[in-house]
Amino acid sequence: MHRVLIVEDDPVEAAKLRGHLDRYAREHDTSFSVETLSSALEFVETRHVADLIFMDINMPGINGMEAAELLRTYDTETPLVFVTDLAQYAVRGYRVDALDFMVKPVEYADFSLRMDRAMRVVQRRAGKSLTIPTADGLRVVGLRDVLYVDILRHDLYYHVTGGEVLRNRGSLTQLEEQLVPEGFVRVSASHLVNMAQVTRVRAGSVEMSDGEEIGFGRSRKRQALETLSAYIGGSI
Amino acid sequence: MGVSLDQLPLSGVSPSVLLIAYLTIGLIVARLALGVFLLARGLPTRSRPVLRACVVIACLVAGTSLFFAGTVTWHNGTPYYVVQMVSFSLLLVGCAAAVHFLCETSWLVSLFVSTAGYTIQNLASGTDEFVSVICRGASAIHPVDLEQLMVFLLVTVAIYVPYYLTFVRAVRRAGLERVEDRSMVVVMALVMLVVIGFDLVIKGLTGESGVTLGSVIALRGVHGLACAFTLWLEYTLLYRQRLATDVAVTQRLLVEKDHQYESSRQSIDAVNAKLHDVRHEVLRQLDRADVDLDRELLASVAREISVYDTRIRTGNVALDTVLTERRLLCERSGITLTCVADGAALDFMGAGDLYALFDDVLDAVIGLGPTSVSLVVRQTIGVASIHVEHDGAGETGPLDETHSVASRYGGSVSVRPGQLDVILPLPE
Repeated sequence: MHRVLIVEDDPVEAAKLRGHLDRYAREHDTSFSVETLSSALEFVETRHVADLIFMDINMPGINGMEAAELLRTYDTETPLVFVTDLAQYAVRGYRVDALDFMVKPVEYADFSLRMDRAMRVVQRRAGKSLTIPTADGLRVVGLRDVLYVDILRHDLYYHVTGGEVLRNRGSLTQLEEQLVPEGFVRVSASHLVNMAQVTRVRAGSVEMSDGEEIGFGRSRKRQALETLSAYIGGSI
Repeated sequence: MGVSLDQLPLSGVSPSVLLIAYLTIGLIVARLALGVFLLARGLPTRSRPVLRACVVIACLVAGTSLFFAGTVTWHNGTPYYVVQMVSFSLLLVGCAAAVHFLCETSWLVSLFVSTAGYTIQNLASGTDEFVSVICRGASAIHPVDLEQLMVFLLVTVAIYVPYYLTFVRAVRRAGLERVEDRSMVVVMALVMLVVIGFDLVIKGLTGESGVTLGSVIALRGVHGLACAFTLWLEYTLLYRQRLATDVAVTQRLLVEKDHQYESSRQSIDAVNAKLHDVRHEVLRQLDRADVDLDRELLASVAREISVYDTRIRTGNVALDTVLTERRLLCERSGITLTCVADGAALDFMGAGDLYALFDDVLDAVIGLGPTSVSLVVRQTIGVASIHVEHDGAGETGPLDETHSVASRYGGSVSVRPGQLDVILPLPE
């Protein structure tokens, strides 16, 4: 069940969005708990928590763009989609890291297309975990906390946030099969990188959130960069 | 050329030895033909190719026979190696003429192909000599008995297979038709003749007393390097020509795109300004209470016009132009195009490049007949990211322009059904 928040002062438009969400849920075998707020001010004051926010821009009092700016001061991650008739303002949605926008009246085809991308980002944030059998017993680590995995003589080293390194015997290729669908990418023969933990992409390397710089292997560079571009764009 | 007949002049020897010597020359000419053929194979042939090939083969046989006859009857006091040098120079010219006669190509390309074929033949011939000196102390191989024929064939394979795999394929990729540098081709032909001369000198020295085996081996090594250098020179010439051509083409395309972009920008500005005025006039009339008007109709007209009155403003003029242009086209085709775009993220790109990239991307996507297209441009983790999502059917085209621009900026392109992503590293 995903929590969706609609911030919209026009009840007709809000109802239309709810209808689209119901249809999308049926078509994609998922479910949403939807809450509607009728003003941006209410949204700012109550600090509602949600997995996905649909925000109208043209609202009385604080407008949607201003509310989004306030949202980003305390929440930088929740995916945000503008729903507006002011397309010229929504173009600047990148300032508040908006995923996209939809023009009113919202047609289902437009909604569904943008919803697909929003759901991929929502899924990314789902807290999956990884069980690692180490010499000290089984360790369960959140996938988001794994920075990268490297291999040295059949030993896999999991570098996790906080500087801890966990070790177990295994094959990087087998681990790659398991972790690639979870947002990891093989950048070289000896490194598997969590794309969510990449802080900079350079022509020949990636920089991780712990400052470690990992170079692309020559034979894997092209594929790794393609995967990174799809991840950064939200295609995977 | 590398032919060396130990018993020269051959007048007065038995017919079987003459036949062997004739076949030896024939096989060496066949090697030359093979070297040239491998390279010229990709060139377009002239009309009636079979007839022309027959003429060339007949000329080859006649030329070989003539050379052989000259060799047999040679005893007029002229140094033999001078005769060979002149003969081989004429053969190089004849070879170029044959290529030109067979293939629809320029004299320069014909000379280029012949020089390369000649060089590889000379390298193979030099290797024959080298093997012969090492194994038997003789200065030449005459592939007349089984053992010598095997050595001849093995040397041919050992030299021609790498020649094909490295040189011929690389030259084909670079494109023979790009041979345009007249002076360089002529210089190479002269270098080739020097290499042939050098080969003949080594042959001469091999039989001399006082020249050690080590010296001959060293000279053969230098000769091999000279042949390899000639081939490398040929390839470098062609490769540089290709790079120069590619750069010229790219620059021409960029200039065209720059013109196209500038013209689009001016058209859009003019149309927008005019429609802006029209819209304001309509709204002004609507505000007037004293005029009798179909207010609903005028309001509808104002709404319709407002689409054209709102230019997309992303903070990058080139991006604004291409997106505004495309949005108007989409509007006409019933496609919803939304853009969340940080134009400043692309400030490091030339306007022509940027215009070309977005033009190509949106062209490819709109060509799939979508009803909805979403474009997001932003900067994050050291890259400018361009993401396009659409509900069009099928796969996008080759996106040559997109790949070309992305690669120029060290970026990458990823295409999936319904999605297209480009990342371009931001300058540090």
